[in-house]
Amino acid sequence: MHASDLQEKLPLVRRETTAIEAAELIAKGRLAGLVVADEEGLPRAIINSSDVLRLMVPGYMLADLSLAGVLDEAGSDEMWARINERTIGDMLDDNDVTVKDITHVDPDANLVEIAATMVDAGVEIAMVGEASPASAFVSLPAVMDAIVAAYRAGVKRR
Amino acid sequence: MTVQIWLAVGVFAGAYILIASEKVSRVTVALVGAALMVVIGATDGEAIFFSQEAGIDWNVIFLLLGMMMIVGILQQTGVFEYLAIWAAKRARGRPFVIMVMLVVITAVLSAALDNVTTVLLIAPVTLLICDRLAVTPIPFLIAEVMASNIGGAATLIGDPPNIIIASRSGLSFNDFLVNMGPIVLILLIVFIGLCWLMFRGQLKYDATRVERVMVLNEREAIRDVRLLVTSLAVLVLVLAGFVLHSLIHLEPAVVALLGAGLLVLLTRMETRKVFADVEWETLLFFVGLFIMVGSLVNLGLIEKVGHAATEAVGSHYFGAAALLLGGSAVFSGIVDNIPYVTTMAPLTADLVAEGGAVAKPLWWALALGADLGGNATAIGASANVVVLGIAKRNGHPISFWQFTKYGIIVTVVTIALCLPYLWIRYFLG
Repeated sequence: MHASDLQEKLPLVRRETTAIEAAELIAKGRLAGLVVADEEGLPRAIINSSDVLRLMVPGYMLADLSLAGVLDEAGSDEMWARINERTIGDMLDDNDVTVKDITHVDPDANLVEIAATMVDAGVEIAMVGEASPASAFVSLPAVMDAIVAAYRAGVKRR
Repeated sequence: MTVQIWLAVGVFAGAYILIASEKVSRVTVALVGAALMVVIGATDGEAIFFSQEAGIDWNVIFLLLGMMMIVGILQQTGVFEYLAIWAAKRARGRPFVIMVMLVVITAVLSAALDNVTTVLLIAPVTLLICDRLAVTPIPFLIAEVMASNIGGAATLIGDPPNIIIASRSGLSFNDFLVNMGPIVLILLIVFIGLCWLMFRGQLKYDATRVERVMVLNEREAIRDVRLLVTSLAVLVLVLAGFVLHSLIHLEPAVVALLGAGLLVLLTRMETRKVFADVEWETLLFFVGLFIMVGSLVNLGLIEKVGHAATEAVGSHYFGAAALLLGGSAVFSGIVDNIPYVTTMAPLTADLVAEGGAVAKPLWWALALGADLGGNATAIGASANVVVLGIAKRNGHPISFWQFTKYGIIVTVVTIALCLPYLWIRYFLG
């Protein structure tokens, strides 16, 4: 199993993509993260889905978790009504968010090589080959699926 | 003066300028400065580690460490958030009443905890309350950080300059409470009046938003009742230990460390979590500063300047106190008050040693000037910088001048009130 066998197309987001648009992409595709493209449409950075969640929760709630429970249901709903005010660009400019550079794996990289590279870089998405507007990626769920399949095949053989 | 003394003065002045410029990390500057002092032979291992006058002041380092550990656990209880929401509900959403209650809570907390921790605890809940009321949080945040700088002046542990002064002067927790407490109380009342004058135009009451505050459930802020009870009990014990110093003969640093140890034992918290909230960079900053200032003491420079200051002062100790008060306020507004007080403490000690009891109020002039001067500008105290950062991250940036225009008013009024206090209490008659 090589990277080229696991690769898939992922939606690219830009600085001006709003939090709600990013959330829709993640929810629809059950994505582990998002790829941020520059003005030319080339992949430039990876952000984890949990960081998109961070974009939606007010900063003071994250600074003090004790406050998260004091709102009632209506207050909580009111918070979500404002999530469209923030964009991916806000996140890229936020020092508290770890925006990762693109991690590359070769198309012929084997499963162990892919897994080790992703763990080392701390990313859930890696780019296969060089950057282009049509780049393909391997993501954590695909890698996990492949590892489970390899394990089951090994058990059957034994 | 010898070449070595000139070199030491050069290192010290250079470090001071770099710290004030904030271009390089202040910890790096202090530690490189300390290393250079060793390289030029201005100090050595014996002096650094074992000299009470020219070495690292371990009382200060370990008092800070102990209190940071206690506060690190205490802040996980949610009790401060509970208090703030309870206060906002009692105020029935009226912005100025909320501001007064938050100012009082912040000032009282600052007397028992360090200022940075206090504002880190109070700022997020303030943002929540203001969000619910749809009012700008900026006046609240500015008022709170200033209240924390004023309230912190009341006790030995409330503000880092006080900890340094206590260690160098031998003044006790009770000395601080008795001498600084009354003026801090007066300043706080006056400060509340100033808040009305400065911020009333920005505090709009919207009756339709009040219900949004009234439905906040403050009980949800307390996540672990056992942790809360244990932490508060240990904090009370530690404060009692400070107050009963003359009976139990334990230094504040020892009391704080014993309290921190007891709290860790009782809460069974992982050491990794306990130490996560210790500001190691701040402690190393102190270490570097003590070595640098200790080098100047070692070379006899501080003693020489002290003699010159003693001769210049003569018997005019009120004049000296006024100068120290005003000068410290101006200086602390421009540079961090920690290096300033670290430098001035041995000098003041010389003046007090020469002048005896009549010169002792100089310590209070130094403490008041350094603590209150922190309000003057946006960079005058660490707590100011922290609040400005929180405000910016939450979409309410406060510019340097926006803060400083209020800061100068508050500093001028509070320092002006300290002058008659010093005169009436210590020099009249």
